[in-house]
Amino acid sequence: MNMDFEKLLEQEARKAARQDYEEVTEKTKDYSYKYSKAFIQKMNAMIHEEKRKAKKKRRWHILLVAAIILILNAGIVLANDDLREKVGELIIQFFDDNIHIRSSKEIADSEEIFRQLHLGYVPKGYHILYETENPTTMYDVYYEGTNDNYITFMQGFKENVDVHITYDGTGRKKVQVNGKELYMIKDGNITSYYYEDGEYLITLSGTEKESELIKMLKSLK
Amino acid sequence: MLIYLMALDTEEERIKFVRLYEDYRNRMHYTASILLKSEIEAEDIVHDTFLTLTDYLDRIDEKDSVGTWNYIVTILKNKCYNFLKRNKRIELTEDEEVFEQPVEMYNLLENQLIKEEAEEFLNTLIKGLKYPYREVIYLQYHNKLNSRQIAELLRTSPANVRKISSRAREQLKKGMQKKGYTCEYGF
Repeated sequence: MNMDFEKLLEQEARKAARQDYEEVTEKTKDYSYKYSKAFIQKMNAMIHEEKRKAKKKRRWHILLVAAIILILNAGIVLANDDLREKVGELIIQFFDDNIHIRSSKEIADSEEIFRQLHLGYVPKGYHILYETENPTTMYDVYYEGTNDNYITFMQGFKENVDVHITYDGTGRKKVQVNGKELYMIKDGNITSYYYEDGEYLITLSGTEKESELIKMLKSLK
Repeated sequence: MLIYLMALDTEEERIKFVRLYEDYRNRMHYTASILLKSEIEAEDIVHDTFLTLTDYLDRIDEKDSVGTWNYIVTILKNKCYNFLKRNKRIELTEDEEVFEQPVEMYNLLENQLIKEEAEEFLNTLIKGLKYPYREVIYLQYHNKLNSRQIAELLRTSPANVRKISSRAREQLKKGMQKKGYTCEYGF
């Protein structure tokens, strides 16, 4: 095929692709369609990676993976069942490159109504990228800031949630906030807090300063 | 030691997925609704498309919104047409027609006639290509995907993609010739 035609075809194909995209963007600028509840729940489930097992009891696994990890000191964490700490009813179990947080109690499916907590304070410069619509057993929200900074908050029934997070071995400690015992884990520039509040497991994680994250936790109600 | 943990894999991928969902779901639903003539069925296709997209997140460059849309709409339309075929709403015969309508019907707008630009007419013809011809051309020339990569999106073989591309280019060239664009443009 003649080279001139190929060049022309590439030029016009790229232009046509752009025009098609702009056309559909214009047509859906004020798209007023209300998605069904079933669709919203399906999409929420996909985002939360809900795994429905065939058993009577349902467990939802949430994998929170922060970043690429370097294990600085392999002596601290080994794949050893004895390396555990307990924070309230939560068991924090250490492996060579990640931490597993779960409830120590095997609780039957709860008929509890999910009461969503609300963050009264969010640092300046952050906006909501996504939040769960109509939460029934779990709520999460992603805040996006400038320069790729982010904060995520999750609240879920304890028996439904397993949390796996990466851990670089550099920082973990227990802290007290509002009379509650929290577990703080650092992984590079990401700080994460985990604690239980009644029947819920709460996690707050992000690249923001620790003082700002603590302020957010204090504002929860 | 660098370790990646899986599942919607990394937090960055989850955020990327959420952004795609927020930015493109309306465009997807609109496009699917037109093809399926059903807003509820369109929801299923949109959901199904997002499921498929989780396998291609690493290949999507969010900064290239046109390229991202090409990716998404190809998968979406593939699912729409498969749905229509399964429900016998369209015929299962091998479709020889490449254009939505006969080339003779494509008339340039007055300002294009005045300009008499071959480019404008080729642009019109490209936009008149039927699925999957147009999508293959876009993915080839805008996204710079090879036939194997396109075949994955269309759930077909690379050989079939090359056939589709070849037919599309051949018919575009013929279409230009029919309208009198010849020697100086190499047709």
